[in-house]
Amino acid sequence: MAIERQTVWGNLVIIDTFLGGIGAGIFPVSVILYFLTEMRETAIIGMLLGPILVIAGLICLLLEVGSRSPLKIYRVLLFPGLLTSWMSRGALIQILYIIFGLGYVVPAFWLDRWLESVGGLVTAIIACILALIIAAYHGLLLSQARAIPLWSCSVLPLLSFFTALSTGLGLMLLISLAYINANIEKVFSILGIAGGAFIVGELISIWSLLSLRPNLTYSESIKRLMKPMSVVIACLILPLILLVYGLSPYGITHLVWISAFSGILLLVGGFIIRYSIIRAGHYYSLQIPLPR
Amino acid sequence: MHCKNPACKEVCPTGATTKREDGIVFIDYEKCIGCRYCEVACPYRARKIYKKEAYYYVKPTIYEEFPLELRAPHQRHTAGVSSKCTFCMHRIDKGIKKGLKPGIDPEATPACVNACIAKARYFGDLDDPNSEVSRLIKERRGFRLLEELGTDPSVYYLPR
Repeated sequence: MAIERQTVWGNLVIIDTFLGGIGAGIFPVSVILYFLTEMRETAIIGMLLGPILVIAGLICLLLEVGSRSPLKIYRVLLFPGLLTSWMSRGALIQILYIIFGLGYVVPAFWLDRWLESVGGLVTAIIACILALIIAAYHGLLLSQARAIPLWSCSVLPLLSFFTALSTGLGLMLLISLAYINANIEKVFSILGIAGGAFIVGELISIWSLLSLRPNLTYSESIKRLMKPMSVVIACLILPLILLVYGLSPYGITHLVWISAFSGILLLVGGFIIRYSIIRAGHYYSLQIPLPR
Repeated sequence: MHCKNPACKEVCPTGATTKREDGIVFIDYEKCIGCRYCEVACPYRARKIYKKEAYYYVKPTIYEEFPLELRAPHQRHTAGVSSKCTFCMHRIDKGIKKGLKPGIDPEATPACVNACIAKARYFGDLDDPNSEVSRLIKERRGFRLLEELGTDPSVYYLPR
């Protein structure tokens, strides 16, 4: 068998990784915004959206991987799968994240000062740690697929991590537009600095992914990745320039437009990354070498 | 490919993929959820999931119509769960119980080895340096596919 493109996992897994990534990325960003700025309502919306988006992603994943045997799906959370499989570990981590994430934000609608209480803070820290693991998880899930060199590349979890954070931040930039007040400069300074760091991390990960050439199959996948990745790089460099401009004294008057464009571009770029990496996965060639 | 370090077993989220002491890797169909993770993990593309029931001929034969609950666990394959070669482990187990030797006695040997008209397939104990398979691998420089991945498959190819 020659080098062939994988067709096993498709659109639903792509949507899962995209939504799950945003859901994981937006939570820590929202928690930071809640404690460091006055824009608390917006931050609470972000925190609420995090677990909801992960639930939406999980539903997509279940439709793709669990639709054939829905009554047996609980087995994913049992041993021995949890010991070795990232699909099992990821399912457990995502369920815990949903519980702790919602457990932090939902009581705030009834309990005053819950978010700042000791119990609330412990819940928030656990949820943030779980969110950061989920951010990398989608890359770890793919990296266990040894048949596909592009996916089993060690850079993928790092790229997944930064993509999740940047798309989460992108959505937060868009949400913050609905609650603009006099304090937008402080909010933007936090989102701008964090966004810049995430974008740089993402660009370094993409560069590493594209520059590795361990074998022919990987190179074939990279050939297919070049066009979409050039769009992705544009979708990352443009917001990076805009965010840096927004942080400068000249950009203060254009923060609304900068936030809107950067948010949209980060989300578009994040989706293209997820889509192109899953679609560009190629199997190893199984051609038997001729005898010497 | 019945690897010593099977990628499919490592990724299986339900523990449906199991490796026996003799090295045969098989699937517990009752545990398999059909997630297809093993399909993207196996470098040899030895895994397949059939979306619908498929029969050898257009209509099911009496063997294919045999009720699932009456079959041995490893023969309860249905559509929607992963499938792979089992090295006809039911034949091997039955043969060993009768005191036969796999790879030598046809009753204890996989059906494909018995049926191959070119006699291009061999089966036996790789741990035994005096077995026919060990001898053939040594004499004819047997090799394995994608050895660099560290899966350590049990299937060898004989180049000449």
